[in-house]
Amino acid sequence: MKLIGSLVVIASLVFGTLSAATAYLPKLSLADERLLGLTLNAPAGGPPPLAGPGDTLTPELLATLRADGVERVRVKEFAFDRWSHAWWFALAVLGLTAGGVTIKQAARMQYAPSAAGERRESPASAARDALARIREIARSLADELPSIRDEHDRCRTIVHRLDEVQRQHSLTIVEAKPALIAALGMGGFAEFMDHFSAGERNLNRAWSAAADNHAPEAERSLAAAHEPLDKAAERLGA
Amino acid sequence: MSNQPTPPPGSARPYREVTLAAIVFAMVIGLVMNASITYAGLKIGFTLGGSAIAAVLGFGVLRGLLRKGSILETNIAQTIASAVNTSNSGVIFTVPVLLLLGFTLSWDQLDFWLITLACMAGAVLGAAFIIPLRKQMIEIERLRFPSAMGVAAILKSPGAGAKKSIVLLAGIALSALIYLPVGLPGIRLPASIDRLDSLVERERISPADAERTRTIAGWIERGAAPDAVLALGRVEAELHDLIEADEPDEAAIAGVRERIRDAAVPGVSPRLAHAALLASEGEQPWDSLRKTDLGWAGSPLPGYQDLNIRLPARTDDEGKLLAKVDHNGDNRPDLVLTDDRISLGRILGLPDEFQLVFAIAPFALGAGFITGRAGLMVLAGGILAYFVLTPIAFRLGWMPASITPATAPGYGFGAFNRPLGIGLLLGGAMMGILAALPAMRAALKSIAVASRMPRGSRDELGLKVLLAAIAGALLLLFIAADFEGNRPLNEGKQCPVSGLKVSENVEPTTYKGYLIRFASDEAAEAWSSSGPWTSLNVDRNTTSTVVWDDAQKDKYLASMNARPGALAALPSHLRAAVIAIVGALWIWFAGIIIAQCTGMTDWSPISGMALLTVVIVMLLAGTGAVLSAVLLGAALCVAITLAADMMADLRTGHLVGARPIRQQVLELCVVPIGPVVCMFTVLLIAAVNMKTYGVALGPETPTSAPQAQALQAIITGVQGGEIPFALYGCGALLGALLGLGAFSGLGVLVGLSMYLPFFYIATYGIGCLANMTLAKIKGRAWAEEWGVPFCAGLIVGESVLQLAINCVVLALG
Repeated sequence: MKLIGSLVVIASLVFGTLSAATAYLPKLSLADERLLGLTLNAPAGGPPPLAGPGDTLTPELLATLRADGVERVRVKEFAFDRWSHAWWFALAVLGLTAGGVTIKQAARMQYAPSAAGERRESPASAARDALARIREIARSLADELPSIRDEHDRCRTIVHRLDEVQRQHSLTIVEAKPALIAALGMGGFAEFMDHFSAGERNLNRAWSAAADNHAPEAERSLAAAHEPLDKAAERLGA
Repeated sequence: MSNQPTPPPGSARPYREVTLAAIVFAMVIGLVMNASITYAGLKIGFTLGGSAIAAVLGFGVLRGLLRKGSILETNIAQTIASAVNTSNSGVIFTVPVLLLLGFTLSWDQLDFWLITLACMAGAVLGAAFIIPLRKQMIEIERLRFPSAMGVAAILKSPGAGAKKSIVLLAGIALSALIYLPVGLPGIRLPASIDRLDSLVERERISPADAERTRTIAGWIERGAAPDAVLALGRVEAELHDLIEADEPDEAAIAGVRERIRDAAVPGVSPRLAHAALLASEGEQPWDSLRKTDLGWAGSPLPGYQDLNIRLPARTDDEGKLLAKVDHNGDNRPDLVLTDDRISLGRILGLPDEFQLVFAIAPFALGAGFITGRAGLMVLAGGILAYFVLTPIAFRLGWMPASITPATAPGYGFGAFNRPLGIGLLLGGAMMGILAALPAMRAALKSIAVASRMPRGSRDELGLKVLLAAIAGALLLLFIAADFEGNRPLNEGKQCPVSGLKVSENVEPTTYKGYLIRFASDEAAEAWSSSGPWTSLNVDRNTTSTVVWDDAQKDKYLASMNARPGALAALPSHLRAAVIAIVGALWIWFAGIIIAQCTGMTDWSPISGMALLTVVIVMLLAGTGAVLSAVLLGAALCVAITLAADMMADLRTGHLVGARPIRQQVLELCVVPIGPVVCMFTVLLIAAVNMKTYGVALGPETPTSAPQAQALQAIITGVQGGEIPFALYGCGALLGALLGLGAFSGLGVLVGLSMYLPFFYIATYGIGCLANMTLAKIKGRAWAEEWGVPFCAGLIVGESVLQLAINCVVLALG
């Protein structure tokens, strides 16, 4: 379904842009009264061109261009009744609407929890697992650090453990965005990410301070990460 | 007791983040970069973002020399430096257009200060509008901001381990190695006479350049120049004298310019003729004519083009090269590898209207890699524009008969790809904003809650501060718009009625939104009462009478390219207020578009947004309101460049754990400085050019201001009624509908790529594909962990090398 929707969108976009390209290109086969007085916006006829930008379409010029076999000219003025592909464009608009709705439906179905309950390997559950792992790392670090006496060792431990968060778990949560939106709605996802990001930023700060060998700031930031991460977990129902 | 941890030595010292050293260092770097990049931008035509360079320099100075910088301190330094520097791209795209259109700017003129004021207001508005969107764009939408990720990778490299530092350095080294032959040919030294033929052969100079150089060499050898050249030189000397007078006589200058045109010598510029005159009079040595800016051929340093890789020679039955392999008709197969791009399409034998060309740009490759899969949508839009629309339009005869297959992509870009692309961008952005409303609401709610927290514990700048900043900036914008809006259409020019120079003592009159000045009260009366005016033609001893009815007045406005705007009926102050408010709203909307584009792809359609600003203001205020349009265009350009820069800095800040409020406060404090530095730099360059060349900017000077020339063409287009509104509208509808599917911002990505030159998109696409391939083979985490630092190196390497090359170019004059 998603594939069909995507194909319809692609085809409609191509037809839509192609037909739009003719908006300022009236056919010279139109009646004179619909063309006379229009101003050219590009050379016409030839080569060498028989008329140039700024020239006005007069009966004589029209006759010359038609005799030269020119089928269309680019003009400055736009009018629906001169737009030869207006109906194509309208069809493209319909196609884009239908294709977009189809894709949206397919995405909803893809991420909707199944009747038998959510599959363990779904992106949303992977995000829950990743968040649980991040919280576990943050907690275990808080427990372990007081027992490490050397400041440099504490910093090294923080950098090493948070590397895993930055490299792997945060990425898993970010990649689960469509699934989380489907599960929580845009508003719910926004609230979840608000808390998660605040926690993540504190962890990033802890990493930076630890990399700079400033254990007190690293530990303060680590401690500050707990609350927003807990709130994020609450929102996610983890 | 022994199990207790040792008291942390770090607790005695605070963690360095906002320090005096960082602020001073960043201000110095930002100011120097701003002035130098402004000059380079006017001369070469493009600017550089300052974040990556400032991060590298900050790293070296704060951590290396001062030996006490932290990751977050360097982050603050790059935030401030880029905020001070970034405004230059906004100013140099817009303000120089006034000089090109014949307006004068001087520090003792109100116009200069009004434009500066508008740019400062734009800077504050750009920052203040985008700050509340940080949560939505960075924390909720998770836009990637590839360059910002690169800067974060640099900042984090000390703690990321030796291996990642090596990968980062390898990226920088490879980038420099790849980019060196692209940048080096930008450095041109006076060519040796013996090498002229070789330079022509390698298509480094034209045969005409070689011929002129030989001519100059002949003069130097003989110690004499032809009389016609010396005569031209004398007229040019007269012009110099007039320009350098304390009170330049404009009429006399115009007369001498006319004589210069009459005395023209083919292939010899007036400057060269003047230099030859000085040499012939013994005021300077003949050898001083050996300068590239006088017309002596420049020999570029080696680049890729010198590899001389050409298409295979294919001939017709008479042994003549086919036009397909010799577009420029020089009887040699065309080059497929130039200094900055590879024409793969021609190597593969694709039809000429399919221009499959790749830019040699490590920056684009790195940005594409960091963007990853989402960047493929950009590639898709480029394919649509350059491989579907253009070839079909060409084959169906929708292009003029004079367009050849090779020129079809360029024509298609201007005629429909660019306007449709801009429309798609606007529609896509609109849909993106609608879809993001819940996220924005949640983000604003969160900021509002945070605002109620104790001052020291806030992470985000409160909405009240931002509203105050917005109100202040809006007031500045109104003041600037009001002053410029009340500027008479024919200030300092001729009276429409008498044809004499206007007098400031005569009360001006408003007509269809334009203020008109007159030479005398009688002329003003004739205009106001729609009465007759009789003028005497002294030469012919005849009189002519004109009745100044509405038709005659409209004719006058048309002669001044001044069609009435949509707000023409409003009183001038109200009109200025509406324009300021519409301008501010447009700045907000355009800032979001630019931040989205930069966040998703690293590209920002600044010129497109400037174009639309000028169009909007001219539609509202009238096509004669060029100053107002440029003023608001400048404010917008500064605002949106700073909005994108600020968001990128905040993204870097998020990745290194900076407190957003500190970056936001500092950025809001320093952003107004950049436009002032940039405006004075433009003024200084214009003043020097006026003294030396008699014109402020443009092709006759070393600072040709290519970007402003593009905007000049747009202004002329608006005045001539050549703006394709229907194409913008069609594009906007398609862009909005594209967002109905899974990704609401799809229209932005597709539109952006229709609007950009394909050769950059193609290289960018390779980066995206490399990311996807690597993620497939080694896993997503591996591609992020090792790919991002490497690509950060690619981005930084090109920026730093380009800056160094620019410095050499500027030093060589």
